[in-house]
Amino acid sequence: MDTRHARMKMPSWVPPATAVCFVIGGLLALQFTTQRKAGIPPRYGRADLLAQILAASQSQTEKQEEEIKQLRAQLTDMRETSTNSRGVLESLNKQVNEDQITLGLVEVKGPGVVMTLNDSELATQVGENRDPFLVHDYDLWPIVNELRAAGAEAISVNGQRIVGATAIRCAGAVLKINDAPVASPFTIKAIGDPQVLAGALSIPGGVVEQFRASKFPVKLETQREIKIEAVGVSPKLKYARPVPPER
Amino acid sequence: MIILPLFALLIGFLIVYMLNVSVPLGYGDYISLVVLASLDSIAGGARARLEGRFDDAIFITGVIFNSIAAVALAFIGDRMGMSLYLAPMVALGVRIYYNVGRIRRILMHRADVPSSAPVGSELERGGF
Repeated sequence: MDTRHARMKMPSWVPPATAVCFVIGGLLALQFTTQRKAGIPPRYGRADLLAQILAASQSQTEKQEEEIKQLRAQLTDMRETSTNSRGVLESLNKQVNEDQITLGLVEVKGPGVVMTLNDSELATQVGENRDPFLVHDYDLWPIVNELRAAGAEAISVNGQRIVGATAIRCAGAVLKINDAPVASPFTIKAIGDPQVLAGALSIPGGVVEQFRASKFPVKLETQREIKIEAVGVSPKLKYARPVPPER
Repeated sequence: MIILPLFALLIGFLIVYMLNVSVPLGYGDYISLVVLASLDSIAGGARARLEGRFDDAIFITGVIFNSIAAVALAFIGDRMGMSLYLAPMVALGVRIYYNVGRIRRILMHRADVPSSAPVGSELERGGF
């Protein structure tokens, strides 16, 4: 506009415009930095999470191995002390084996289904509330429930055997199953009639359909042989005592 | 003279960028609204300047009050569970477009072109 060189007087619009532009520049940089940092999972760093899970699973593995050793020793003891009554031993053995499967004390294999579930694709959008798009404890309950109702004989979620004493609950950024931290993606394995189990999960309006509706990546497949891990540590009973049969 | 505000924009950006500070994610929307309100004032101010009726007091108060109003509306909306931040976003966005359009016409024709906005409306008066 004003191209004269001699003693240019500063127009009145320049100082306020300059000040406002300075602020805009600063705020833009602030937003850029904020958005860039938001690229990392906002709640916990991924590395922290993995380290937490690793540490917990390592200590759990040690405990598990010790427990297996003890169980094997017990079994050997029983066999040695009751060789005299073979019939009793066999029926007892059978009973013990079945109970061990029910209680999740041994690793089992058999036909069944494997379902994988991850956080919704919508969860990657920054700025919105991520919560509805993450897999929560209450998302896993109906899956386990349906599998049980469909006659699953052994179930595990991310390697954690689901037994009578199992709790699936939310603990900050992770879930805790059997007190071990687990995080998505989730792999749910169940042993039982594959067709019945798959059907129970994928009926119209069932859990798989509900997850798909919210853009949760779900995969469900039947397999001829699945291995399901034993439960880590079974709680010691402190309060419950059997009631003697009344006469 | 137009260089000075542009230079300030760059300097402000660089300073904050170097400081590497950030705000909690939830407040990002508010920052964006302040930026939008300021950009609206810049567009309105530029237009007023070209039309020869720039008033620095109106300009500065425009920046401050528009920012406060936009953030307040968004804040109340968040408390109410209502997407009220959309209101200033749309209103300011429309005004920026309108003012930028006016500036373009003024620069092209170098003459006052009849406003297409309703007479006496905020848009017609330049509203910055």
